[in-house]
Amino acid sequence: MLRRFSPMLLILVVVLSAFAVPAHAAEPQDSINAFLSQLPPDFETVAGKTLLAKLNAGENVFVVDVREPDEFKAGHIEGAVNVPLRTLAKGLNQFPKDKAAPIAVVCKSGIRAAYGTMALKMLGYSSVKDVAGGMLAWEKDGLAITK
Amino acid sequence: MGGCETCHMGDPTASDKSAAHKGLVPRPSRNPDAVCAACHEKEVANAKTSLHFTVRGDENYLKLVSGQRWADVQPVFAQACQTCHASCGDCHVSKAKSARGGLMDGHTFSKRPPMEEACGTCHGGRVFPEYTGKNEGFPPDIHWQKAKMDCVACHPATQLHGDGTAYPNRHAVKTKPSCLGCHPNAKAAGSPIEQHAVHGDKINCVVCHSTVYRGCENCHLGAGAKSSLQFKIGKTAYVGSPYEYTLLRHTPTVRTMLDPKVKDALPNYDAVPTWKDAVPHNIQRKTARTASCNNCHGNARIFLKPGDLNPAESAANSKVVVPNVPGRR
Repeated sequence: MLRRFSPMLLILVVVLSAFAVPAHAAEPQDSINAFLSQLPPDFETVAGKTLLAKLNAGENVFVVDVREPDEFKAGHIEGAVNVPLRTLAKGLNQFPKDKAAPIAVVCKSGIRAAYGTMALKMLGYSSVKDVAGGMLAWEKDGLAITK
Repeated sequence: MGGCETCHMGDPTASDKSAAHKGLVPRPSRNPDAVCAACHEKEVANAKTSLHFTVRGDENYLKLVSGQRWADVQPVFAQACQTCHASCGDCHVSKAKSARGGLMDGHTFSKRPPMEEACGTCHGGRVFPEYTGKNEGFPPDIHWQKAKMDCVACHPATQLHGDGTAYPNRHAVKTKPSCLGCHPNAKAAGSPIEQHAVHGDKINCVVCHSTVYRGCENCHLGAGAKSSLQFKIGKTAYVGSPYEYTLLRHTPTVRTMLDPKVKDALPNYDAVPTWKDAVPHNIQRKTARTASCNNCHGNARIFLKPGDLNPAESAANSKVVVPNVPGRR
């Protein structure tokens, strides 16, 4: 039985492959191209000085610090909430309910915050920015930190 | 109208440069009576009393804080401040020193010069960038963003030239632009807008309708001068203001700012706040403060508090702080 159907099965696999392989190969490339080509001019970043000016002008920006707790305790932006990157998706109960609310993600240098920014975007938060240069740039610019 | 010598003097009949340039006046409109007034008598008469021409606002401040030392300070003012004042030619044919000088468009006189060249060069540190949206992360002023209103749309020539009155400072100018001049329906009394009616005339429009603006630290003449984006609500520092609360910006005046020229020149430094009424040029209809009462009420960081003051600065700053932040609604 199996021997009888095996040529047909082989043909079916080849036919399906003819359609499936190119489509399967093109899909991630197209998606990635769409993602990269639509990156905004600021690459979803906000300068620390700009963020601080917005906070000082009364803008309700939710600042999430994705560093580890001991790094956070050593000094952070006033009002920031600590949700370490690896726990970000489990800590959404601390985030604004309005997914369009402005969010700034900060870490030490901007790398973890970039992952965090992408993750939050994938989770449907529409106004998320990575604080450019992280806390290193923040402190270099002489901006205030809280302990 | 003759040749160059009509305004710039010199000797056009001379055969060599040094003889031709003898008695040359590089910036003739510094003495507008001698050149411009021949055709523009009324404008020159008004302009000579204007704040643009005299820098009287700064002069009056220095007179006040220097007190009996004014005679020593006056030459410094004349050298450091007054040389920046705008004469007729500085707006209508040439560019400011801060823009490396030179002519705007050959030697063509412009009745209504482009604002980037004429206004944006002298006011390019704070006002022009915020009006045109050059402060990163913040939009341009809505009057520019939506209507492309240039500077003279609100500051017409009659105001820039002055009206012949020797106003003590810009706040006192009768013809200065006002929000209600174009938006009479925004008047607080009887306003259908709840926030306008609730706050009455107590709060300057800019408190809710402007974004951030630039404030300065330390003196232009001294070391460590820097600027940053600020936003602070405080009590008005201007006696005669119709408002009780307004936005304040830090001004670049320090106690020792004239020390390199005149030691201990400002005995009355503590009489005038260094936080002064800001006139932000970054108006938006909707801001964080129009979005929610609690973006101001209970939000201590947007008010100028006693703890924000530098104790080395003017004691008069204590008059403009807000010790008790209004509670949340």
